[in-house]
Amino acid sequence: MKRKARLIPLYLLLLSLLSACAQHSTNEGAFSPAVQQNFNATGYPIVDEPITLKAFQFELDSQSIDFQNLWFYQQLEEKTNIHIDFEAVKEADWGTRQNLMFASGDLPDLILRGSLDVEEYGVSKQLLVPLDDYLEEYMPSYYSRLQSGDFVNTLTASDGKTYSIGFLIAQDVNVNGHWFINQDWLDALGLDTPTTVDELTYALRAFKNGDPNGNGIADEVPYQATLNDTNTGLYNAFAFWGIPVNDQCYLYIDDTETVRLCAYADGFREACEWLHMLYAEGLLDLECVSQNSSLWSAKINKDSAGLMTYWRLQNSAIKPEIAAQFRVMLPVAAQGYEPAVSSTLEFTEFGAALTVANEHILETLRWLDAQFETETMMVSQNGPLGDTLTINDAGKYEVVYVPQDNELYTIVPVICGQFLAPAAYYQSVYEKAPHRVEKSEYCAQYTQAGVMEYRSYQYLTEIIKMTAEENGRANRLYLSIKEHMTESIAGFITMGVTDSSWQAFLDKLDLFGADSYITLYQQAYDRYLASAGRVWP
Amino acid sequence: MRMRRLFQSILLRYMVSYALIMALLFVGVGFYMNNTVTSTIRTNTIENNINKLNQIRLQNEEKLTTLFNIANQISLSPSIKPFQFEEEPWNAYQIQQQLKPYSLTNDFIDQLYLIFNEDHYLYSSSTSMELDRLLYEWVRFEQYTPEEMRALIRGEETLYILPSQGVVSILSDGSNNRMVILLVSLGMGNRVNIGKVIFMIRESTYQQMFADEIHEPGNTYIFYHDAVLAASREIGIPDDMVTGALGDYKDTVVVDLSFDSVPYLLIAQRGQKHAMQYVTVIPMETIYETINRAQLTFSLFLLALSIPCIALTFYFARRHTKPIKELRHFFGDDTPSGDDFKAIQTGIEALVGRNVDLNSQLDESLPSRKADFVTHFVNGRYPSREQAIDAALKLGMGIDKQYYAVSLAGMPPEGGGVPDMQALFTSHGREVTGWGVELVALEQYLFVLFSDDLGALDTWVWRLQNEAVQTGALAAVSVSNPAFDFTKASDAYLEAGTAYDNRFVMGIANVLRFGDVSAAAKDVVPFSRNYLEGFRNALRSGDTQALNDRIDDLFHYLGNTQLSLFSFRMIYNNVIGALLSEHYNRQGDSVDTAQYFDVFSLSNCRSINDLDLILRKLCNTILAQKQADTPQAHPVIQSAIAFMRDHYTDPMLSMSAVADAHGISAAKLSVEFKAYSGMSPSDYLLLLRMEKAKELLGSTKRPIKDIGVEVGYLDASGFIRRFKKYVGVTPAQYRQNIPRQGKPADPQQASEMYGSQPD
Repeated sequence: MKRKARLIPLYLLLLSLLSACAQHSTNEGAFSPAVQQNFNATGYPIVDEPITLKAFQFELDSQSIDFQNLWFYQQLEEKTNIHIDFEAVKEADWGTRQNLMFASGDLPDLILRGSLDVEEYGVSKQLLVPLDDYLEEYMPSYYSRLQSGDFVNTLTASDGKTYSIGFLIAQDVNVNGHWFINQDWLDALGLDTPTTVDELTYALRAFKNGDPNGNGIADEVPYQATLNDTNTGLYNAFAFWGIPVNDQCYLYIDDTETVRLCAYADGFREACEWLHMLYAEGLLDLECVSQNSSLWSAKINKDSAGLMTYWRLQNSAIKPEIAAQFRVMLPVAAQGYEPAVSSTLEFTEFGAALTVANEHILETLRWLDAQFETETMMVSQNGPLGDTLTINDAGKYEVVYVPQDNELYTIVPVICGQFLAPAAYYQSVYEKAPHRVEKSEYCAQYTQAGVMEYRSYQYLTEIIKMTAEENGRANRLYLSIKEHMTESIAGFITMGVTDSSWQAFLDKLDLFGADSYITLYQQAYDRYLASAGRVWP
Repeated sequence: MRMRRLFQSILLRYMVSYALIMALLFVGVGFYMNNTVTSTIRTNTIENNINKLNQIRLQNEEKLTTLFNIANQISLSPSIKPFQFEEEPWNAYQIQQQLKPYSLTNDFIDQLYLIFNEDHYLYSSSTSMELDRLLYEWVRFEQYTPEEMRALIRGEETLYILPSQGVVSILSDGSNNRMVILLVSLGMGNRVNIGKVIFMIRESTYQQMFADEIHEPGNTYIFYHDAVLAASREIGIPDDMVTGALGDYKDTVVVDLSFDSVPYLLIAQRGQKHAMQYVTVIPMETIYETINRAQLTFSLFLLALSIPCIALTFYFARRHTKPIKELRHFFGDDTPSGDDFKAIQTGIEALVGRNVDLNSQLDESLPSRKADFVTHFVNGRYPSREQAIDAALKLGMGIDKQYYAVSLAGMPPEGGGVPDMQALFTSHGREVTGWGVELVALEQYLFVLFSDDLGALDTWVWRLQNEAVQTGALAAVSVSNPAFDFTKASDAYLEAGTAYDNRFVMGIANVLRFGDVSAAAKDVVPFSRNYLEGFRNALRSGDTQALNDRIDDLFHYLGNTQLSLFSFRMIYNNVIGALLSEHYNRQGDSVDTAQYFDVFSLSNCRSINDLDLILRKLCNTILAQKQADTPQAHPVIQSAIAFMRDHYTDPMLSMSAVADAHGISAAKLSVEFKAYSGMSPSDYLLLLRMEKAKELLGSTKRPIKDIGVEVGYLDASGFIRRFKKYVGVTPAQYRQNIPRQGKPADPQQASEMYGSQPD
């Protein structure tokens, strides 16, 4: 009797294995889910009798999240009757574990957050469920937001199908370093905000010599900057010549969909020469190519400045009384050039996908969509309503406070949960903090002024797909080009541009394979345009 | 309630013993701990701390060596050449790129700056910085003014080590960190002091170095000369006190300190480089705590040990109680006063006593009760068949059979117990059951056999006899007729007894069956009448040959006829009677012949051979006397005999009276009389009187007392005593048996009755 009892778990195990096999076999090649008696197409609960789904869940390296007992998912389970068995996988192990999971064939029902090679597992291996037919009907909250179009949709795979649910927190930001000019100094000197390079040069000279701070000493630094910091760097100045220089790839896309290296752009040498002129005249800080942003802010706070680029004025680096002297300024235009400011993108990241092992596709999609309902989504990001989150008088969700030490992760999944908030929608439901509003306004101003580059360089660094081999080559080329560009620009600014140094610069670029570097990206971009690139914001 | 008290009492004893042992352990080990462990722990603590200091020293010296190496490498680097920033600002960018590897790969260093003697700028891997602005605007050093600091930076010495001090930098949001600063001149190699490398190391990095795995409260210091280079302080002992206590020592020193009346232990080790000392101060409390912890651990260990011990104590107390409880229960006695092993002992003694009783009862009582049953059964004590069966059943004897029989078997000369009846039954089937009794006085075994099958009874007896013959264990076996009336077993016993008595005449070759014996008695009377006539004639004629022929005839007859002992005795009574009467008629009375008339001798004559012997001897004696003419008669004795015959009824007749009557002394009479007759005159008188009494008892109905007087006894009780001694039974019993000849009530009396009763 005893022995028999001991075998019972074994029988159960065998039984479950057999049934698991049976489930797999019935599932093969048939993606269309049968409408189940247990399932409710609308309203809650989603299922009358509880079901359990297995999730492969991304987890931040820095956080230890007990998904299974997270208040948020418990609430969700109570509401939907769907229980999730989370298998949390750390950021560092994500790729390896994901490969292993797909290779083993022991697929979960769904994959949540992190990243997923949809081309590989969806298009090529057909291990993911195409969702196009279900989204409108079963994920209404998500679908309506997806249609708003004010972000880059990266979700459509090369075969035209959608295998994943997107993740997006739109900040309504597309520029890193905005231009700020010292309005107090302008006012003190009776100057208007410059609109051209010449006017700006004039103003800088006036700052230098006109003693706008009124201390009687010519200690003013007309243009305070670092070399290549995205916010404070001199790179931003190339925008005056229509060259959106970034140090992530030194490439940009022009309005003919051509990938260009900023060094080859018309006006690049002129820009360098102009900067050298400023340096030589003492209109630029002497240490502008060697100082870091800490020293930059120390100097701004100490001496103020006439001109600078930065993220926004409300920040922790610049004292408010100094910040108050500045006003945002549109990039000025060099003679014969249209300004082009390097821009960033807001694009969807990977949110969720269903594997072909999923027997409850409709239930799973409805469970996901439940998290896209505005309040649920806001709570998942910011914590419980009435605690860390509230609804203000304008009817918008507003963060009351942010708990210390990432305590939010013990209640809600935050960044590891589902979120899709395109800019317009987000703005309509969420009360942004004032500093965020400030930044958005600057971005809107630049966009409206038409000074943004044609396409963000992030199409090249984030959106387009390269083969592993292409990627390796691109990275190797980038490192030497980056070093050469930085060194050269620093040299041009401090020592000026001569024909020989310019030629040496070009020769060396050639030597480092700049052409093949450009070609590599052009081809990948062309491929992207040919496939998914038709969807533009 | 009483049992619980008992348990508690036993438990208490166990607990007291246990507590005593524990207390001894506590005291003993506590003493040991205080004396031995204390010094061991102190030694261990010092050793551990020296080891720890060694670790710190090695790490620190290694780190410092690394810093010197970095400075060395920088000074030797061909791409790092002295320049002036204002003249070659682009070089600043280059210098940063060169410095990146050093700061990226060394997490000991918080900040690394390079400065050339002729330049006004400092360079790190991420920025350039004007020296004056650094000293006057960006950074403030707690212990050095900007001027002092600049003097050090521009100083000639190859190495400055600035002990930990607060460094406030607005470059990192105005943070204030305690830093150890090292200024190493770029003077190595073939260059001579072209500048300096400034290393800034957070004191917290040192504190991490000081932290070890087993954290104990205490202060750890690295001294540079007499200043604290870096320290981790947990106890509030002043630094100068530590410095003062260090004194002069070579490698290692251990000092006992006291601050605020609190004892501390200082352990210091001198470094091998840069005049550094490594010091740790721990409160003595730590050592005491360790000792206390050891004691606590030991106590906890004992306590933990005591849990199973207490459980065991309970267990054994319960085990102790249980047998006592069971003993009490067994005795049905709740009042013994003993509550420990004494009680168990008492119980066991009582048990053993009982056991002995029981065993003896078992050993002795059952067989004897079975024997009693058999005796009662054959005595006809059970008034009904059912009662007999019930009584037998109580003894485990199954006698509920249709038939039964009684069997007697002779006891072998060496005696012995009742033969194992059950063995016989087992080996010969179970249709017969039976039990035996030993009749020691009669040298017999008595068996009662039960069976539903008459044949089986017969077979069993036959087998018993077979067995007896084969083993020689039994002399003879007789059996009664099968009977069915359980109330008349006494008759069956008499039958068996009668048959058994026939063993002499019938031999023991076959089973003596009562049926055979009773049948044989019928032929005796006609034979004896004819034979006696011939025998008497042969005797009278004195023809020896004829007489022998007649004796042969007799034996031939006896040998061929299955005679009962009863018949046999009738015959030999008649024959001897005839012989003696013939003898008396011829006045042939003599000592020799008289002995053949002695009833004891006769009663012992039980076989044909005995009779043959007696008869021939007697006949030959008589014939020999006859041939030797008349024997020499003794006139006085004959007269005395006649006298006694005439006067024996006189109670006053005495031997002296007889002697007086014949003019001789009583003594002479006795001697002469015995010489003549073979018996004493008093015996003869007794014989006369008893024979007369027997005659009167049998022939008259006179009261026994009267008969006693008649034969010369005035006292009835004296008569009865004499009669019983002479005959074996009382006169009343004798008379009771006379009318029922051949059917004696008591088989044990039968032989004597028959033997003593004249025809």
